[in-house]
Amino acid sequence: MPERPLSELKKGEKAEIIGFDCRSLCICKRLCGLGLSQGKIIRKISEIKMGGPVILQVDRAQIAIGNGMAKKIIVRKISD
Amino acid sequence: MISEKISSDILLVGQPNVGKSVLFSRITGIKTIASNYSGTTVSYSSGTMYFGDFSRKIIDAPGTYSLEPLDDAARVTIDLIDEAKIIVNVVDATHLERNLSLTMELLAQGKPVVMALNMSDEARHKGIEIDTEKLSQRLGIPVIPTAARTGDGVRELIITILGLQVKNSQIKDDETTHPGHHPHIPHHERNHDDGLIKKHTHIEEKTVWEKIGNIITDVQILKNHKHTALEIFEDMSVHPVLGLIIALVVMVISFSLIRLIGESLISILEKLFNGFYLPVIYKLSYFLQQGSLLDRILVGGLVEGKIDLLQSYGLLTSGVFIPFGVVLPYVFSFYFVVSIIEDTGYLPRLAIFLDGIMHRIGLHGYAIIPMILGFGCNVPGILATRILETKHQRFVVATLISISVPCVALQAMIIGSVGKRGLLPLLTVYGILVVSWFIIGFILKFIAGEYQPELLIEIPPYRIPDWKALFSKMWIRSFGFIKEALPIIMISILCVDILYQTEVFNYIADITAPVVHKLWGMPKESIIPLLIGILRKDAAVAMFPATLTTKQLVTGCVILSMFFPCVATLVILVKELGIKYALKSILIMLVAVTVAGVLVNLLY
Repeated sequence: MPERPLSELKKGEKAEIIGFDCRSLCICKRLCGLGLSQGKIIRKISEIKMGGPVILQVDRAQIAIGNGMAKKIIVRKISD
Repeated sequence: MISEKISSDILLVGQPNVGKSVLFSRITGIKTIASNYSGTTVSYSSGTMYFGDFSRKIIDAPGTYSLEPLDDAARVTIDLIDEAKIIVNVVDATHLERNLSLTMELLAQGKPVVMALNMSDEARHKGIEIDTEKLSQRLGIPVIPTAARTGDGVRELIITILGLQVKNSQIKDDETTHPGHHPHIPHHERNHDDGLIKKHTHIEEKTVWEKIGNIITDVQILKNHKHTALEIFEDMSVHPVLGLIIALVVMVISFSLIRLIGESLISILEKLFNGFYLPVIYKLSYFLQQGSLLDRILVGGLVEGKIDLLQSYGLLTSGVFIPFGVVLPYVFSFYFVVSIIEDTGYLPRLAIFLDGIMHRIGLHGYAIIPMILGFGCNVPGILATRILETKHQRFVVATLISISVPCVALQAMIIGSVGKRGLLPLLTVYGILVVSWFIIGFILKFIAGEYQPELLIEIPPYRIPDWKALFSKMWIRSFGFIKEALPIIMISILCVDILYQTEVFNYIADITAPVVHKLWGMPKESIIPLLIGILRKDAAVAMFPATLTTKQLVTGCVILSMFFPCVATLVILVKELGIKYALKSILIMLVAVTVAGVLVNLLY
């Protein structure tokens, strides 16, 4: 399965986080704080229209990630 | 030995929205404001814990995801940790894995740590089982399951803290003994010199997450559980279409409810004031001799030959009726509705749907939370901008709040006065404020250029509000309003009296007439309410004479809303943004209010 940005994942799909395409350590740290570390399995549960955020299920938490940031998170789709 | 009092600091540290403030209230009995979204505690609160003979200073730190000094919350927490003797790591049992990253950082600080495994009741409901004994062994610290909302486990937590402190002080007396509170942190990660954590390299980072993963598989069992009704509603609320409908419905219901409760309370209070209070004032006026100095100060002038509780402008008429008869009902209804939305956990969901719109003015969705709080009072709204990451965002939001977001006190008065002239004038006032909000936002985004902040938040689970806590929060806020507003309303009224007595006001009115009269089309005397607006905006609206045309009244209310923030807001603007940014903010305000006043005058 090819790697792609989180923003291109479809609703309901599961994926593994491969890495972050961000220059700032600050954002990576914030993502880690929210449990979004490398190797984590996530599921996209929604995406809000008009440049709105992507909503993820991470373990038992729901996390909203701004569209721009979602483009910089690289994931690999996994099938159930 | 135990009777000897050890005065010491206990620090509550944890990630955002794990219930630190609720736990703090449980331990100290101090009422704090807690809500269901991250970032409610933007600075720390301190209190004293009493238990038998012991008393301890205890501090509730702002929530932080990590001890890396990336934002204000983390920096404040790091400073507090340096000063603290015992750290209570408050952990959300429903998100143990994520919370443990902060725990690891805390353990590396070389101070005694106790874990309060909070929300353990909620975890059980969700089918999450945590073996606390094993967790305690793996981390090498005491782990106490708590449920701060019900108070379960709080007693055990206090006993553990006190026990640990006694033990710790013994150990400190005997330098040869190693503290030994963190046996599972490899030696190289600790720094005994000054308690500062070494900057993590990427490799260390990975091993930390591996370690956390191992602990989790060892201590936590996830059972399958049925989706509860609340969880189904959670999924619906973030659905692109259903969620938008829910957002609209929530907003419409909230506004209607605030209006309905506010108006109902006002109509009841009006009857009480007119039936019982007004006759007393008439007697007093008669007793003081109508028109005497004391009568003018206490009762004020006559409006169409009668004493008018709202407009007579005496200390005992307007000074009492504005805060209690007009504004308090709306303060009460606003905070009732907003507290429900806060405590259920809806606000972050609203933020998600507004993210797209907020991007247009260079902000992200979470910026809506300070804005909403600003509708209650600009001061807590501007304080809440601390939940935003960058100084620029905070500046933009604080500026927008102080210019385009009228506080509930001002709104109550505007609804009362402009509302009497019909719905259209009222909607015009609000419409102009909304437009000004967008225009100022666009301009500030344009100035800021490329920079685009991104939303990154956790969406908390829905919770049924705890009504006792909710009413206590409402009480703090409503009482806070009376305490802050009443003296300043009284001072405003005295100022007006002095201005009229000394005839200074004629002088001021003449100087400002070109702007007030020529540009804005208001009678030149209107400068007095506009100036009083610097003290209290609600007291200022009551000064607009009934003889103003509807157009003048609309202009006056728009100018008053956008004009100089009231003293309290001004102070907090300077405190939060620094003098340079506060001046920038005021400059924007002066331009905006002049332009808006002229446009309303020309176009309305």
